[in-house]
Amino acid sequence: MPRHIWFKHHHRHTHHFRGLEHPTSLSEMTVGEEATILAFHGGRTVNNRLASLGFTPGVKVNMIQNYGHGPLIVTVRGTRVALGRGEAAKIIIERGAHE
Amino acid sequence: MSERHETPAQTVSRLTVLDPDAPLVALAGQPNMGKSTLFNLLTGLNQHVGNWPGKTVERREGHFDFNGRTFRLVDLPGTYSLTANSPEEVIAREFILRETPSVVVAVVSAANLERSLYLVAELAALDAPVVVALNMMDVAGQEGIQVDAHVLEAALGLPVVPMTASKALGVRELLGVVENVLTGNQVPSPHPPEVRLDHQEVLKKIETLINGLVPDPYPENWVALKLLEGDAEVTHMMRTALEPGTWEAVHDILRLHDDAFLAVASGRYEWIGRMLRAAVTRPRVGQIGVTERLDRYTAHPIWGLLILAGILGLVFWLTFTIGSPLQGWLDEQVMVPLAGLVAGALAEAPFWLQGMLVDGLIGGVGSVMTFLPILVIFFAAFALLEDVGYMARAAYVMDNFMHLMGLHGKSFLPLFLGFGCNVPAIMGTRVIDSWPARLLTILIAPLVPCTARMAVVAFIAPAFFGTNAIWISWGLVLLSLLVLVASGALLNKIIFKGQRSAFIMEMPLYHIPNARTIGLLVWQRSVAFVKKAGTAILAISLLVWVLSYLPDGDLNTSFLARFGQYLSPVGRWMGFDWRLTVALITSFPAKENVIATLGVLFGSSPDAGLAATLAGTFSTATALSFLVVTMLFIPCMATVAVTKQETNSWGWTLLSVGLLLALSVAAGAGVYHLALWIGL
Repeated sequence: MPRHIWFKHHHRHTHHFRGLEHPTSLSEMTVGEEATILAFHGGRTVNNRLASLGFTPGVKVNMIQNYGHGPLIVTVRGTRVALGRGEAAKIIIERGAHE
Repeated sequence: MSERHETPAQTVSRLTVLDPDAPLVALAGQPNMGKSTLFNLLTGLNQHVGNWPGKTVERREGHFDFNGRTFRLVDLPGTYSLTANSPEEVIAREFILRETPSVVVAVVSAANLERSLYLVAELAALDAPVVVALNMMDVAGQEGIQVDAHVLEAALGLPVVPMTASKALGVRELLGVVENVLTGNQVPSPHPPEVRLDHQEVLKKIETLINGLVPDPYPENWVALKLLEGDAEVTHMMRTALEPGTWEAVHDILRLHDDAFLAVASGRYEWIGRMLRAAVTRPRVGQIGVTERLDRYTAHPIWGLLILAGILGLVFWLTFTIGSPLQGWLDEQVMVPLAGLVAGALAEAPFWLQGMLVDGLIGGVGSVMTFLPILVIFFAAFALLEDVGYMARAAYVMDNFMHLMGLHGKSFLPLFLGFGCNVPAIMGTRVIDSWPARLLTILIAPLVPCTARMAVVAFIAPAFFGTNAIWISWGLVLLSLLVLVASGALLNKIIFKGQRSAFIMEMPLYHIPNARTIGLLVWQRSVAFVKKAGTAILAISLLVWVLSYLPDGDLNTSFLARFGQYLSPVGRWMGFDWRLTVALITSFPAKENVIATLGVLFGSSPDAGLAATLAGTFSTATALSFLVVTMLFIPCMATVAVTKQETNSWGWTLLSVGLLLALSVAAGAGVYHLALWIGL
């Protein structure tokens, strides 16, 4: 798994975003914030599990709980999902919603 | 870890059922979609719980009658997808491909169609005869979500039956459609999803390369898709099946497109999106549901831990106020009279037969069985918390703490179960999705103090420490947990090289518990425990009895006693004489045997002054050391048996026993000498 596959997606989707900011990781989001997933690089098994739970590039996520340490909760495609901080750090997001 | 790399063909074998001609129906679905509720509703007690061959994944099978016909029903493991991320996914897809069920009922949630249709998208690509059970219509209604089943049916190309399994609504309609598919009156013809546009050409290339070279029974286009997704099992299969040159060509393409799993997943979600746009209207958006309100407390880093502590406290309180007296009652009012009755009836029989039945069978298996009430309370509490949806929150708030051992929140759940009994704890590790994390949890689970050990402490501590016994007991529990965390952290460093498994877990919506689901769960777990007691525990109880009887029928001169005397140099490090050493060894069949053995060795019954005799014989330092060793000593034989069963390896099982043996001896010797040093 090349470390920077998200970069391709980033370019592919850039023009779809408004208020372009630097991509950051999901663990940086604050509660109540909405973001769009650009990509993730957690290793094959983790990536596949994330995809089957609804995490794909372009999908909206909402941060439900994030205390800055420990696991966090997001909603994605109508499901609440708990993620370890390590896993969340490997999901690259763009703040704001997809056009 | 060798059992993780079986070829798919080994994972599914022939079924053993009543009527091999009865049509076979498989239940598929993601977790938390009400699949178990539907299975229980259809089969009731006509079900059998076992394991999938060669796997430690629970397999449930049953049968039901409809319109004068008997159907076989197999509950496939709940999985989010059909990609080989864990044994569950492989079992589900191998079953569909190899056993070719007449109908596959895919359970989806009307309240969460977007996520739950993902598995249907995978099933559609397998070309299975799928009927969609659109479950949880009531929850969808409460959330203001309207699903038009007819439109969804047309869009999917699959029969769709709206239902609410928890209220037994729509079940007849579902079975009617299942029957129609069986008789050919209704033919599912799914419109499977396509890969996202930018990868369709790559998929074509792979399909061309593997054309005619895919082993049976796998569909070619499905194999191509799974290769693109990076599925480990299918990749392995095709690497073996293809000529090296062809594989090289396929592999080159896959290497260039190793982000293709996203294109495949996105293709499925685009397909789902089209279904939803056609069939779902959702007028109310953004309302705060019950789940979100409750999660503010139950998943809060401080409130959540307090709530968890409160719930654990309540469960323990229930166990000790209802379960323990019941256990004592069973022991005194059922097992002791039963032993007397059998002894009386066999008065004429040879002495060895009487001894074997009374001391071996009733004393060994019987005493383990008396713990059933305690376990039933634990199982019921667990099943209730699980069914309500709370368990995911418990795992969530414990995640930080479990990181100390390189584990994550899910490992907490089986460890909690261990306070009742270590046996269900080790079986409960099946919820952990990564094998190293599961193995580590199995290795440390015996350090959770179970009720049997607490019974020994409750007998011995008051004899030596009087009113301070309660503090000694709490200290012993705390010590066990400290040792658990320390060994977990150490094992993770040494054996697992500090690797950490991913914590990805759905937080299901809270819902009202279903009495039938809970009742069946408690019933099945209790039956599994009783079966264990009837087989493995029976065998070892008899063995221990034989060793304590031979050669001349006197425990004091038996092989067991000689063994204890042989080991007494080790016992002396911990301040034990040979009798304490023997008592400890007899805790192997069942922990609470310690008291019975001491009773025999000191010739006084536990009710008649054994406590006083012990207090007069041993020093406080020895008592403390004995209590510590009892808490940490090798797991009981039932625990060892399930460890072997769940790890499928004698190596890990022996490591588990060796680890606890070393830990307990070291801790006992340490405590003994420390206690002597401070003058106890």
